[in-house]
Amino acid sequence: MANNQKPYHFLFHSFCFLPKANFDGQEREEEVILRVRAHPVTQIYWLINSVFFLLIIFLLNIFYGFFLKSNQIFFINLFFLAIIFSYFWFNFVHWFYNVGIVSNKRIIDMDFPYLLYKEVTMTMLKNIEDITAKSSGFLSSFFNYGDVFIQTAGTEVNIEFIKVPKASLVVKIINDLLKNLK
Amino acid sequence: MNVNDFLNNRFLLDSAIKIFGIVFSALYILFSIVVYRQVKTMHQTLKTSQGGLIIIISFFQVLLSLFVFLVAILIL
Repeated sequence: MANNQKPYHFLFHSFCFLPKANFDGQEREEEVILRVRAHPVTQIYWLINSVFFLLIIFLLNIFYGFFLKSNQIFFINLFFLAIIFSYFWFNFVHWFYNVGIVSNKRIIDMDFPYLLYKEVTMTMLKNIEDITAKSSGFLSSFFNYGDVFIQTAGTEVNIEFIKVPKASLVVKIINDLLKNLK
Repeated sequence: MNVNDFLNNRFLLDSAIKIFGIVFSALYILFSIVVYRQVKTMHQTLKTSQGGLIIIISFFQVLLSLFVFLVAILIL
């Protein structure tokens, strides 16, 4: 499938076709066809929160001078700026590494929902029974993102790609891979 | 003792700020180290071209936390 096609990326690498990426447990003949992350617009809340916290710190500085010394004001500002940076960074890393991967052999969902917690779910392409793309609401329609549900045979775990861009295209790519399998 | 008495007692206020500063900056060091380890684990699971830069920024966060701790001890 990927022989005649060029790599491309959308939306801050939240949708990557033929990315230069490898994953743990990748086989020698295995090629990553698609890598998806949550649509960037779904991450706006922590960006807005970070700006809001910065504004609060700025405003609080007006009141610090009444009862704190300059070295204490410096430390408090430094500490809270470091905390805001950590909040921003943790949320970015959480978004960056929660990915769905489609290779020429299987589909993998990598989740790191909490600190020190890793969840990797994978299924072979041949075990896929049904693929569904769901998109509901104004924002998901306007920004073209949705959920992709991959149902597998029998008792195997199902895989979900949540709030990914171009959910219909993701389904199409997986369907094309399945056709090539047969 | 009410809030005004507490704020007007200079020694008590300075001591409270120093203790809180040291304790919370120490906790922040632990948090930053955990995040750094988590990022390294994530990078081993999913290797990307930006992975090196992300690890460097996470390590910078650890250095930042150490700096905050030193400021709490030396300047406060």
